[in-house]
Amino acid sequence: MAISRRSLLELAVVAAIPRRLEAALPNDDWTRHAWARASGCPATRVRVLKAAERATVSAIADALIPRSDTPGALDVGTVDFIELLLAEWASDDDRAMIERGLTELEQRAYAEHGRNWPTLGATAAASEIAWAEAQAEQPTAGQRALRRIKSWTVHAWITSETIQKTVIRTNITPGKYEGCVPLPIVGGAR
Amino acid sequence: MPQQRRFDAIVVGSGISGGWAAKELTERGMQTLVLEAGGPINPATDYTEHVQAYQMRYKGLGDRKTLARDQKIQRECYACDEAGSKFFVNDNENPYTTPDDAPFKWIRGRQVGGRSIMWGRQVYRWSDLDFEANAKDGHGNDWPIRYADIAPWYSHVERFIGVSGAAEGLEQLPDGEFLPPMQMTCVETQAREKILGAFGGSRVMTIGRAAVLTRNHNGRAACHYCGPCERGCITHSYFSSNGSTLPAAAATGRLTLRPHSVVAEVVHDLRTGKARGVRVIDAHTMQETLYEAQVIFLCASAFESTRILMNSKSGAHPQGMGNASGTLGKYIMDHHMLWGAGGVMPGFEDRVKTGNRPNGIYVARFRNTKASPASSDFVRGYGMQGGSGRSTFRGAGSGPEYKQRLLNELAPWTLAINGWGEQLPNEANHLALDPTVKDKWGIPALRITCKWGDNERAMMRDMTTSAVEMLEAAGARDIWQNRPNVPPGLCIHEMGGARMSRTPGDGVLNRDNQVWEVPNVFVTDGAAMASSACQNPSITYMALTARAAAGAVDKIRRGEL
Repeated sequence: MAISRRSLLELAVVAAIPRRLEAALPNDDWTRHAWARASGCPATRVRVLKAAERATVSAIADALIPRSDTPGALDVGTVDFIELLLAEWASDDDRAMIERGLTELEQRAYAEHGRNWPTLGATAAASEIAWAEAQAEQPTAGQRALRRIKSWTVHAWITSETIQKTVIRTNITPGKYEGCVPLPIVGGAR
Repeated sequence: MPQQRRFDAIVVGSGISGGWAAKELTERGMQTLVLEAGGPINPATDYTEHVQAYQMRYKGLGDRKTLARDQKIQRECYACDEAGSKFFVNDNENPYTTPDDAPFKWIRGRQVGGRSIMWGRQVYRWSDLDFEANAKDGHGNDWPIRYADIAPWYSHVERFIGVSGAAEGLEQLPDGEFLPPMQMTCVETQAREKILGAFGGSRVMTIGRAAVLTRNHNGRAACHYCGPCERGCITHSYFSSNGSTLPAAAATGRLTLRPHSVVAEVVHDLRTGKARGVRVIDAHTMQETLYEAQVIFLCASAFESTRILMNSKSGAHPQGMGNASGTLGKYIMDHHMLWGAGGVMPGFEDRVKTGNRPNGIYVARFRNTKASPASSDFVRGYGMQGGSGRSTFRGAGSGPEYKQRLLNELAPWTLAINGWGEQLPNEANHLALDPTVKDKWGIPALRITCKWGDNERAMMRDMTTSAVEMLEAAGARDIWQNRPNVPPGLCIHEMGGARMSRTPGDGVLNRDNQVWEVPNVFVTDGAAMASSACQNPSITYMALTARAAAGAVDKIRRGEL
């Protein structure tokens, strides 16, 4: 059996676990557990958005979390994840709302900025996102769609393997708990 | 599958109670068959506590449509999510009914280990305040045991499973044999001291008493603080049947475990007046088999054990086995929960916690105790559970600065305190066999009728009031009040249905958990409870089970069974 990169990473995580924990299990069980964790169910590529819609969703995701010295939303497959949710997870009502909302967002981008969403530029995109997030007694479909896309984008980005492993460096098995630690010692918020 | 049809003992269910029955019976020399309705579990491949969101198809958001189709009740439990839904039953295969105006959320797990895989791990001894309550205020029947009867068995259980906690010397919440406690956060430590001061020592906030190891114990490794215990634990650092009692039973060489074995009824022998065995339906083949034994322990969960008794009708027991008193199925209970409050705790902005503590804080009962004045609004009382933490930034914004805030900004500390309250035993809250609905195996489904009463509602209101008082005393600001509409069942502490009693006319089980009319049948899970107290009940099931199993073997050896 070929060992995938993901599996190697998983086994590396296991190797970092204190040996006293490892000793609690037969070696074969521990290894199999690592394989079990490595055999997760990655999202398959699904396409439900029209090309123009996907371009708008991509532009929103990129405006929300752009690439900097760390990967941005587009670097970790957030738009593919959003398409997967729309295809398999969202309700019919949600899908219809997103579709109507994307149409409204496009119309508004032209009306307010004279351009389509994907070509808005950072400043105009930020103002559109601020508009969508502003308090509204009855949010429009466009506002609701952008809020939902934002929620999914942030979730997909923060939980992505790349961000978890290379930016946040989440320790899956800390090995200890301390209830009151000075912030600088743990290296920041996360 | 075992070819053997006769054993010394049969245990129905392999969860928290069944595992203890298996351990105690096999260690006392009994060839024991454990029947589990669900399938086997391989911790190495089935547990998912280390699976990360990026390894899940929906990144932890849950397989929403499948949950809605197959687990529309189970999904209301937080643990029935994308990583853990496999540990919960399929609601379509396991139906039950309720009156339209009395929803009950029955959360179940059918697999080897039962709900001991995804339980909350909180363990608190009951006290005589609880065992004497029915006799004193007249709700329910008098318990046939007192704290002194069960205290040695609490110790027996604690020494084996490992319970971390802090001794507080409280009469209403007896101390146990504890492993070192987990740490409180700085916010919780401050709150404990301020609340002690503000209420003259009558309200004690302590660290939760949890069946989670804080040091290596009985061959199991200390907790590694990964967090989501409800998905299983490959190091068996919290107590589960799979990691503790069932391996101990297997080590004796006297355990036979048969998964996929749905018990339909206990078969009565009119000639001896005892149970002959149990009728089992193979979950896959539907083939029926009679397994026989000298003693039978029903540990299938409170309502499942009661259902088996209700379905065990015979000429001698036309209304169900053990129902001469007419109390079988009656006086069911749960805990009501989550009324309380939360608030922002200023200070400690330069402090964080590291690791994921699988535990919270606990405020011992302070209403209607010997040390506190009686409430004029309700009888009995409640404990409170909660905890503190700092959430990550999830506000408005976009762009590079927003991205940095997502990664680096923490909200202020918050502290939540919510109640877990006693439900009074009430005859109107009961189980019956539904006349038309059956499960996948053709066994009549339960019809559950259970409502909160005035006493519970008065207690809920007091939970929120007292939580606000404590948060104010602790220095909280921006306090919010919790008044959720939580129907019975969701606390997953369902109890009663085959209560213990002092006389045969008053209940289903005697003081040793034997069915009064069929003495070789024991019921030792939540069905046996005559009241609900306010403490999480699992350790009491474990202690009652160990006590009953030891007693059963003694009776067999004395020729009494």
